[in-house]
Amino acid sequence: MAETAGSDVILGVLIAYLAILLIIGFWSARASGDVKGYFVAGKRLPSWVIAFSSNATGESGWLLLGLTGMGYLVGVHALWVTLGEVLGVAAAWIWVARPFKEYTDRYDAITVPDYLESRLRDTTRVLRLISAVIIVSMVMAYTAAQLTASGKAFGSFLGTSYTAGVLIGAVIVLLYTSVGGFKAVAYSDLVQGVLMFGCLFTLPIVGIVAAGGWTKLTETLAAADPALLRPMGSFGLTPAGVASAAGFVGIGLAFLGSPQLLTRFMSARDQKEIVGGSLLAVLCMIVFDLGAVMSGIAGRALFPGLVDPETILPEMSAALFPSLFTGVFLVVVLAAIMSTADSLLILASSAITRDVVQKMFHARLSERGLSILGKLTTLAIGGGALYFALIEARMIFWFVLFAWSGLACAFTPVVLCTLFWKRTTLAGALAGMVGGFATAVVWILVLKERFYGLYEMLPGFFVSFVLVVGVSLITRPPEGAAEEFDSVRRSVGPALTRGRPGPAPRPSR
Amino acid sequence: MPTDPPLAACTIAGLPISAWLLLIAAVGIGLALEIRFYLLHRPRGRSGDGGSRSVGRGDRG
Repeated sequence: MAETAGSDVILGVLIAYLAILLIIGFWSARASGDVKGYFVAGKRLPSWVIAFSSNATGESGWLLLGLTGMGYLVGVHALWVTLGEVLGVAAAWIWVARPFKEYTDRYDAITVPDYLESRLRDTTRVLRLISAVIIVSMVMAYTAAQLTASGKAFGSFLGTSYTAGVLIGAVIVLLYTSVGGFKAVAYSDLVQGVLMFGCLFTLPIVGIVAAGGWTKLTETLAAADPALLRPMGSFGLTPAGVASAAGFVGIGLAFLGSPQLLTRFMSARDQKEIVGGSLLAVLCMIVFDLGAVMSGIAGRALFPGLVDPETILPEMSAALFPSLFTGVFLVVVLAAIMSTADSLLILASSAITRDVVQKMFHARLSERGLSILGKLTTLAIGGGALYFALIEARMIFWFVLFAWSGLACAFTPVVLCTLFWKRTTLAGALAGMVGGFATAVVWILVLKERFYGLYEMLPGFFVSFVLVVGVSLITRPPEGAAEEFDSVRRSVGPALTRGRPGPAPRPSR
Repeated sequence: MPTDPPLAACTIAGLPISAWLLLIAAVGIGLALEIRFYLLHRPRGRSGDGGSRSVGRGDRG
């Protein structure tokens, strides 16, 4: 009877959450009537929305399940992830956001390929095509993995079948994303980000108290395995330990240029909203990551014998909180999953609708027609991801391994070079994009184990940067790009020193 | 239960000093940079000094 009542409470909380998402979707529908509205919410988003949205998007179910599990498994060593991600988010908001926003406003760009094509004066559309191929293939797999996680989360918390869990997650995400577009995505991310914040602020505190307090917790962990309290973990200061720490820090590099995160900066109302959102974004990320690691560490003292460390969050929520809160924790896990899946779906939809159909094939569709096409494309991509999730195709496992890092290695070095080096050329960008992505894939499949399991983001970034710079130096820079670069830098002004930005420039296009 | 003498000798509240340094760096470096950025660029009227003016591009309608 108590178990039934508990399940009913969990179900009630879940239904309330899903209803909120659908309400947001339909509330946002009016703003999604044209292509700019559907893909970047008309560039009208306020600071708190873009701050929470970018963090919630960047942190998927991996934060709630994977990073807590990592804290459980390796203890303090997992704090290298916190270091990397907090630095990555801070650097993105401080150095990347404003010049990227300035450029994309001048070009009236609404996708990252829009920006790259304009910045590098690519009349061949090759950069746009390659970008679209990488984005759509990686997003399909990554979204399938999120839906897989949804199926497993429902099973863990409610005992539902895997198929039912996948279908419920997919239907809800596809409904509010296709109806409401980017505005629905951003505001639902806000709700989801606040839930994640609350969970990861509360859980470690309750966990540490349940473990007997901080001193008792550290004594318990030291008795179990002293390496849990050392920054280099059980590796010690060895090549393997350094590779592990470097890999953890490297996870944060993706925040500097992954397309699904850059879209948030593009969608900001103006530069002031970026400044306003930056502090909130960094504080939010600190709570997310520190909370996840500390939860795992506390969980290790409370539940020392777990077979699967990635179940520590459901275990702690069931043991330490009443049923109502267990329902909330299920919702938080789903929030983390959906806040990533919805952003990826919009990203892939924009790659097809805007980058391929509108810009490459010059389809004669009205703004409303393009918006409708965007919605249908969202459904189609989501349907494909749903299919792969339902059949649990083994290939998902492989694609997900290089989805996050593959996207980051393809785009981040190229975007950074275009923002900070006026000499970047189209050929350099193409070489860097393809080379970075290929390196990430080859590293995972062939080389990773030979190099102490070094995270593929690091060699991928290195190769991409070398190719962008090397090829750019032997090719001609785009016409007028240097002057435009200087103009943007003057307009934005320095990030961390006193100085005044120049007057607002006239649009160059 | 055997303890690790060097660990026991170099701990604060049960955590080694190296772990505290990592924790402080993990939170502090990014936060310090961000606070400086925010204080330099926040809208005029609140900062009370020159700082850097963030030029909004206004409503695009």
